[in-house]
Amino acid sequence: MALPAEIANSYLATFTLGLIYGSTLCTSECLPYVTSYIAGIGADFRKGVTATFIYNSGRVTAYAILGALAGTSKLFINNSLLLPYQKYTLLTFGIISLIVGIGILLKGEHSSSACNGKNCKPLRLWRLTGRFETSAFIMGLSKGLVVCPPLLALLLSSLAFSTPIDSFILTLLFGLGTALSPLLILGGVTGWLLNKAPLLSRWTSRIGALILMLLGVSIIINAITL
Amino acid sequence: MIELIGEILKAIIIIGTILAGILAILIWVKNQTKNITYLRTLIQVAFIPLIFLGLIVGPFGLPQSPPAGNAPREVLLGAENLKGWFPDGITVPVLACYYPSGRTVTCAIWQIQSYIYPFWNPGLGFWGTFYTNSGIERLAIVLGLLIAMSLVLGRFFCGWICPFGLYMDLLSNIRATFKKGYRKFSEKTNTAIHQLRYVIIAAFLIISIIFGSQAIFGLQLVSGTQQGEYVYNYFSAPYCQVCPMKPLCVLTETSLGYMDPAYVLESTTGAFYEAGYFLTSLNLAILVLVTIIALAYRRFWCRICPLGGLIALFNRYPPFKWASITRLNKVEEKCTKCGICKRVCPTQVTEVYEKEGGDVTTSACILCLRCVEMCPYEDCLKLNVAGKTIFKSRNWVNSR
Repeated sequence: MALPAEIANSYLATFTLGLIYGSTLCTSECLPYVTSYIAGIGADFRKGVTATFIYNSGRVTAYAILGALAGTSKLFINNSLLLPYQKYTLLTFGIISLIVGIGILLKGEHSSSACNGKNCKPLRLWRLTGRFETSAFIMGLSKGLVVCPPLLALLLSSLAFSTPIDSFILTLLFGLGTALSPLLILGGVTGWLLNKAPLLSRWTSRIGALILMLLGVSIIINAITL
Repeated sequence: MIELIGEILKAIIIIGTILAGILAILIWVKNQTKNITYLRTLIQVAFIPLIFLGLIVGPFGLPQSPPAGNAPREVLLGAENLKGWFPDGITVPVLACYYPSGRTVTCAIWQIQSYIYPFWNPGLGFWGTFYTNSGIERLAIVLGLLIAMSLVLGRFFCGWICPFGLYMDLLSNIRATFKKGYRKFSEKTNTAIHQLRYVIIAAFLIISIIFGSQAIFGLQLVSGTQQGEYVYNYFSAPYCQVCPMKPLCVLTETSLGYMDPAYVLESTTGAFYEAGYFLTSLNLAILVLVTIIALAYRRFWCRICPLGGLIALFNRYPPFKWASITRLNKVEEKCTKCGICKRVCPTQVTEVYEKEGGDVTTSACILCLRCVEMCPYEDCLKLNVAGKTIFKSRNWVNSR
């Protein structure tokens, strides 16, 4: 059964909107976190792109969850609910960034590089544990749960559709659009460049982790003062 | 017009005299272990007036280029033809600093940073320039030129053309004059120093993108980045605020009377960490530090230089590696593992010694060809450009 034209057009428009916001606001917002994370885990180009992709997957999942919630419970219409929601999701994202930063720092301290001056492999914490993929996903998920103005507008406009499933599909399409952003390339390039310095990977990892922790602390402060 | 022709003639005479002098020395010195070094010095010296030709032919004193430090746009190579598309002049992969009055070409690092932030959008640039195209188009031109030059010449620029490379060589010569030996880093430290440039490249790119987020992505991540605000005034080209080449150029021009010392100093404001425009305390501190270290370690800065790193990225790493045409080749059968190449290398490259023949060029090699010059085995080491041998090692021991 074919979709009605207006709904199909809305789907396409939402995906396009996602692409536009993904290339602009989303890339800008997420760049410091993603590059710090990539520096922290010592990824190369491929792993940098993959980490960014996983981070974006977390955001897409969050958008889909929010869409489903909005469609079923009309959660975001009530302003008195929205403000505390924003505060606590922001706080969660800050705490998760801080924990991921501490995790990278501690992991880096306990891992040893097998470099002897040359012919050494970069310190790929990625390979040591699978938890870091989860970290990228959780970071993306917690970031996605913080409702940004374009997403809020989308959630509210999706309520006009007849079924709750439309809200879910619209936010999912929006999320997929934002996931296909220049952030993937920027993450890959960051990994590519830093991977050329395997002997300094411990230091870049520490710096990346510290920046992530600082970003986390600044978000926590922002959330508390909200 | 007549004055300009006169100035050009003056420049030709000065350059000609320098070249003739060095050629005379070359002829006089028949020591085969120094011939390439002398030729290299000759080319390095010749490129100083070519890169900063305005020092000689710049229309100083004219209203559009007062000695306060405004770049005379008339001498910028390519600026006149490309107009608003590329008003900052042709990109070169050598430290051809943007800040002095008389440059003819422009350092690629400044262009890459500035076209990300603050000049991403079309509009006014510094010193009355106007960009008619977007930052991404200008970046494409810069990277296109950089990749093309890197593929053709590789880090030959660093060894033979870069003015800061010449400064490093002069510092080494000062030490040699006092019969002092060079210091060497341990192999691991040296490799780490060589790798540091990629971290520097990543850092200034990410910082520039974050500073320019308002123009690029429509969301301001750092406050004070708007025109006239703090970051715009003092950190619009973050790497340039720590580059040691900038104060060297500015100090040289100021001492020659082409830049007004009062203006240069006036623009430095505030505390130590607050970067000024022409001459900053941070720049000066790094220049002093680099100079002191370079007195002990040969070509110290060339091991860290991010511009050298960019050339290496576009020349020594796939997929660019396969297309580069300038290569240092070694014939394994003729190598006796005497280790001379390893000992004489100013950047302590060990791969020429260790690799099993074939293409032995590495990202750390500045192609100064000191190894080719000093290798005592006929045809063992060769510099090939597009498959044609330009320089090769000679049996200088027996020919003496």
